[in-house]
Amino acid sequence: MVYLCNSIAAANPLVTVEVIEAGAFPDLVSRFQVGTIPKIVINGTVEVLDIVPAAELIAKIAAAPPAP
Amino acid sequence: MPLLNEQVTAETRRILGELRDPVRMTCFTQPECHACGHVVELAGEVAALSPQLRLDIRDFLDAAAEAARLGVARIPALALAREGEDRAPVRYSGLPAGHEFGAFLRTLIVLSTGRGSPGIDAAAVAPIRLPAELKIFVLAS
Repeated sequence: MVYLCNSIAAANPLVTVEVIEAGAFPDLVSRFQVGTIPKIVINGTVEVLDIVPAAELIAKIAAAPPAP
Repeated sequence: MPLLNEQVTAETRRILGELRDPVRMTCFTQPECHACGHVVELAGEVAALSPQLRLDIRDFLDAAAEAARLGVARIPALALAREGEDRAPVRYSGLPAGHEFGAFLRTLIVLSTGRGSPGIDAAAVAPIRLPAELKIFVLAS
C-alpha cells in the first residue's frame, strides 16, 4: 500500500503522503486509533484499512472531504 | 557498523541503478532526538550508493521554514522530492527500514523516473482534483 500511495503522490501534485512508522509515534497511533497495519487516513478523517485495489483507493481520495 | 549489510548494500545499489533523474532526500533532525541518528545513517548509506541521490541534513528548528514548506511536522523525518521540486510528494516519519525498506527504494525510483505502481499514471489519478493528504501507518519490522 505504501508503494501505491507514493506512486499516486508522484503522479498527482495535489497528493502528498506521510509514511508513519507506528512504533515511533504512539501519539499519532492513539489519535488516529490505529489498530491494524497498514492503515491509511485521508485528510485526517477518511480511513482505509488493509489492502484495497488502486482504483478503489483513488476513488476514496477523490471523494474525501477536505482536511478540517 | 553500517545498518545495511554487504548483501543488502549490493542489492540496494542494483535497484538504485534504475534511477534516472536526481532525487533529493532532506532529513530533519534535532540533537536530542535519539531516533534521528538511525535515519541520518540509513539515508547516508543509501545516498552513497547512487550519484542521482542528494542528501541534505537539516536541524528541524533552524530550518523550520523549509520543514513547513515540505510538510514536515515531526522528526525524525525524511522528505523525498525530485531535484528542484518545491514540494515533497512523500515524507517518511520514522525509519524506513525492515519491511518498508523495499517500498522506500521503489519510491525513490518512482520519483526519479515517473514510473510507479502498475496502472498509476496521470490519467488514473486525474479524478483527484482537490488537495489530499494521506497518512499511512506502517511497522518497520
